[in-house]
Amino acid sequence: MSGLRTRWRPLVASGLAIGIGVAAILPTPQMSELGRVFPMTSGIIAVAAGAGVLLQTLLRTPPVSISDTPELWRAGLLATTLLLWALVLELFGFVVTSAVALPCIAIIARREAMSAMTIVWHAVAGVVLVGGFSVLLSEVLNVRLP
Amino acid sequence: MLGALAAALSLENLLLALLGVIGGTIIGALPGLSATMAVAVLVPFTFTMDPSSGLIVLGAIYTGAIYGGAYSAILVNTPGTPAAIATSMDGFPMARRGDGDLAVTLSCLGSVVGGTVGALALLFLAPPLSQIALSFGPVEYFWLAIFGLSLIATLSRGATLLGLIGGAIGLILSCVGSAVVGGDVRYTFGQTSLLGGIPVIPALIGLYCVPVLIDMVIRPEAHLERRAETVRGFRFREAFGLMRRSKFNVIRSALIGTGVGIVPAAGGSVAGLVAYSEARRTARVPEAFGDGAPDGVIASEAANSATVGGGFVPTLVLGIPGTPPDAIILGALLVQGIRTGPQLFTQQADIVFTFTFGLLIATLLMLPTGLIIGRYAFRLIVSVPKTALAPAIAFLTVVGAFAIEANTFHVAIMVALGIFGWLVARIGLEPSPIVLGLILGPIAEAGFVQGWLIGGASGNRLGMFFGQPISIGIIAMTAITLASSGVFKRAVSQGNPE
Repeated sequence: MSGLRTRWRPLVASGLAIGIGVAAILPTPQMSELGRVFPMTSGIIAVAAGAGVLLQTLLRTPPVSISDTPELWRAGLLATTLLLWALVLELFGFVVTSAVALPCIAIIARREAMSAMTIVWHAVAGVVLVGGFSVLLSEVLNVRLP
Repeated sequence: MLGALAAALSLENLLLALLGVIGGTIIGALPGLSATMAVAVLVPFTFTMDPSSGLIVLGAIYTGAIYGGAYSAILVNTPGTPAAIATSMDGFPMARRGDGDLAVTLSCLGSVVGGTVGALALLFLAPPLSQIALSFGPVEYFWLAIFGLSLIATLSRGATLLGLIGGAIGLILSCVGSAVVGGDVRYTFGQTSLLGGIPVIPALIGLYCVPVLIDMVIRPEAHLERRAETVRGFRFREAFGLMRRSKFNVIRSALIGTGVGIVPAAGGSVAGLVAYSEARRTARVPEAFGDGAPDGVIASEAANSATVGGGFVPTLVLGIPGTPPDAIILGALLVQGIRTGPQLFTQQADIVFTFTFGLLIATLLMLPTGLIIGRYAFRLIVSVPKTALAPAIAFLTVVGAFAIEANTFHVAIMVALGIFGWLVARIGLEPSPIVLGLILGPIAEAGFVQGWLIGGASGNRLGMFFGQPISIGIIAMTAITLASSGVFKRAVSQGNPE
């Protein structure tokens, strides 16, 4: 069991590479002769490299340099916030979504209690950031904001 | 030529160059706001200026933007421009251990030397060097891309198979959308938004920046180490000493950048990676690369800044723009009634030489402006609490991904790839091989397919791919890179049985 615990990362990497490689190869028969060369080659490289990692893992335990990450719930919340922000950006607009998302991310990142003055400074900085970029994008760079 | 130098040194042109460098540096530092965008926005304003002054502004913005990409690469592990990909590899580890200010100063010095070499090449050697650009056909581009992909072996730091997996994922991502030649629609799953493929800049921001953002939020420790003694100054003497010790690395990287810059479409990202790989291959302690080796930052920045001058060689002499900003500046030249070509250096020498001297002066102005902006950028990043830094970085990633094409779908791609990048980092896959595959995949595929068709038509495919002198040279360089990375790994494994 301890072997499995130390080897799960390369095993997952191997499975991911083989999965992505096979998924890339499967639709290639529908492509033209020249159009399938690169997808097929890339898929084969992914499968071969995944198989190589699998063999390497089964034969010896490679050193793993990545430490375990604490507080994964924060990662989940942040990823969800970013995804929601991206999905509703078109619907609710740049300023509104930013005004909601920025405090949410600040709360997710927060570890210590903040004084009222700190909260005010953060709010002012947020307004300046969003306002400044809104003007820069829409007025100076002529980027159409949602 | 002296008249052109005097014109470039006029108070008006000096001020324009200074403003251009400052503006370009700030824009380049913001992920997603590219040099192309800055140059494109300002082109109409230059139409009312004297032609040489207008060109100096555009050249200064371009120079500053390429350098500015180093700040975000060093301080938040997000290359502000693709040219700064290699800078983040050692720049960010330096910043994490408290040497962010030293890394910023080194990047400034490296950029100034690289930019100067590129500008001098443009000034003195443009017509003969432009012939290199003409020698590159589809097959040479194919081999150049393969050479770039071979750098994965160097960049993966002992985990070649994992690097290969990352590279293959990047190549598969580069196949999404319409094929570069032939028009096959691949891996779009019926989504019309994916027909144009995976956009590089949002992918770059997602793969590099979002994982840093997530790590910043989940870890209790500070984003960057803060040493009391490091926030006092520029650490200029220390950086200058490192530059002197690394003089061969600086010159070699600047020459690589100039050479790669001359080849249209190769660009600063390839130059930075090639120079980085060479610096690592020839270093006394190659295993220090990736953990905050100053030579890595110097090599990358000297090379990517040298591509600016190098890129203008084919633009001015042949009318072939090396990069998108070059193409915009070429358009500005045409609007001003300047016709590019070898005769440009004789018939309209005053404008060309004033512009080239302006570029040189803008590069030199990068030293004070870069040091000052860099110092405050570093102090800002280390002193801002995470509750303010995390939302600000998240906001910049969204703005950067959106601003390139005003497309909210690009924001979704950026976030999705960012989360994917963070997840695969848990299993040991790094972003650089994925990005390398994504950037070089289309160049390799277009070169291969075109070469295959031309070779088929001429009945000599083998000769087409393996018989040209430049191709043979690039294949040899690829073999040397792969062999030396293998030698390096054996040396490491001998010293470290684990």
